[in-house]
Amino acid sequence: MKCKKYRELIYEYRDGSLSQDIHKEISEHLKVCRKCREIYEREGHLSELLKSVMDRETSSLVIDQSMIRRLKDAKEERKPKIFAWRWIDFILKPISLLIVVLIVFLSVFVIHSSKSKENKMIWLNDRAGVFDLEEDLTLTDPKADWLERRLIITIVDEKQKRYGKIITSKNPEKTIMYWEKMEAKK
Amino acid sequence: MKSEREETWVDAFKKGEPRSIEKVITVYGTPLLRSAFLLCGSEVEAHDMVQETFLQAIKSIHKFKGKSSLFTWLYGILLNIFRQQIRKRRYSAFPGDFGDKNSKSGINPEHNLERKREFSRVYSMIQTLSPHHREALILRYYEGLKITEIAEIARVSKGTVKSRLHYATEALRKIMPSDLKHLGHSIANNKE
Repeated sequence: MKCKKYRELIYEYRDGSLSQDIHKEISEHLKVCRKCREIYEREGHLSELLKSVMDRETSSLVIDQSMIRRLKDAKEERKPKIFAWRWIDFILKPISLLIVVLIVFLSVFVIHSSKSKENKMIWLNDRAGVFDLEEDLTLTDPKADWLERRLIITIVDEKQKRYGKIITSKNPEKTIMYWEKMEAKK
Repeated sequence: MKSEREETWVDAFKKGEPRSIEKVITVYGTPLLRSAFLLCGSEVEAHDMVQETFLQAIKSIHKFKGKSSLFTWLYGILLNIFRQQIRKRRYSAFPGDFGDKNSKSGINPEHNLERKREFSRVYSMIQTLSPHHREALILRYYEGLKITEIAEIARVSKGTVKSRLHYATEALRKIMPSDLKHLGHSIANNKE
């Protein structure tokens, strides 16, 4: 090993954290290499100096009883806070869950009711909306059969003596309706 | 190294037993306070940092898995707080009050005045280093930690720790007057 490699391991050598072989190798090297020995000793002297300086500068500092008291008090104060938070957490969680369930339920209800209303609508070529069948029209064929995915509804307009035929489609634009005179039907 | 006694405190500390909190603060408070002071250079800030360290430790003791010693874990928290402070303040050193501290330190009046002055000069030089380099220097030379332990606390690689130490010591040597360089030798010789 070259001097550079040994010098890189000087700290670990002092720590005694190297393997026995390498430790012994460095010890032997320090005996024969003046420069490496100087570096090792210089580090040792600096270490002694810094330790003494830092010890002296801090020797008067001692943790005081008031800090111990404050920290013990802080520990005591922390307890109810944690309890209070847990209590709020305990109450808030079910409430928020309930609100979410309510919102979901209401949304489903609104969507469902609007769909039901849609189902009651009859789309005509010239008019779209709720068509009041009870008022002046009656369904002649309550079975209303499906034909090629279309619902054909025949309605009777007593007032104007005519039949109406509605051929519905899933696409409202393709839904058609036409009227026939009653006589013509007969 | 973790002692059996420490494990007992940690268990009690985890349960939040007031006596164990007092014990942990009494045992580790002073070393942490001294390190905090070396890091930030201000006694007031050091007290705040240590207080915050223990508050965070009490709050998150359940996260302590016991892989390192409790002191290492606490030191990691302290270092995080120090780094946060540095980021907040955007300056490398706290406004130091280390000069005033010695007046109430109760140091023996017969203490060699010359050496005292020299020590203060070295300490002021440490304070001029960047936070990362100061951090590495304190962990190594004040806490006496091994490279692997410093890497664990500072959450950097061993290579980074060594590079920071090398840079910090070189920077100190450059700014250190030649008369102070011999101070280390005399301290070492006195010990022998």
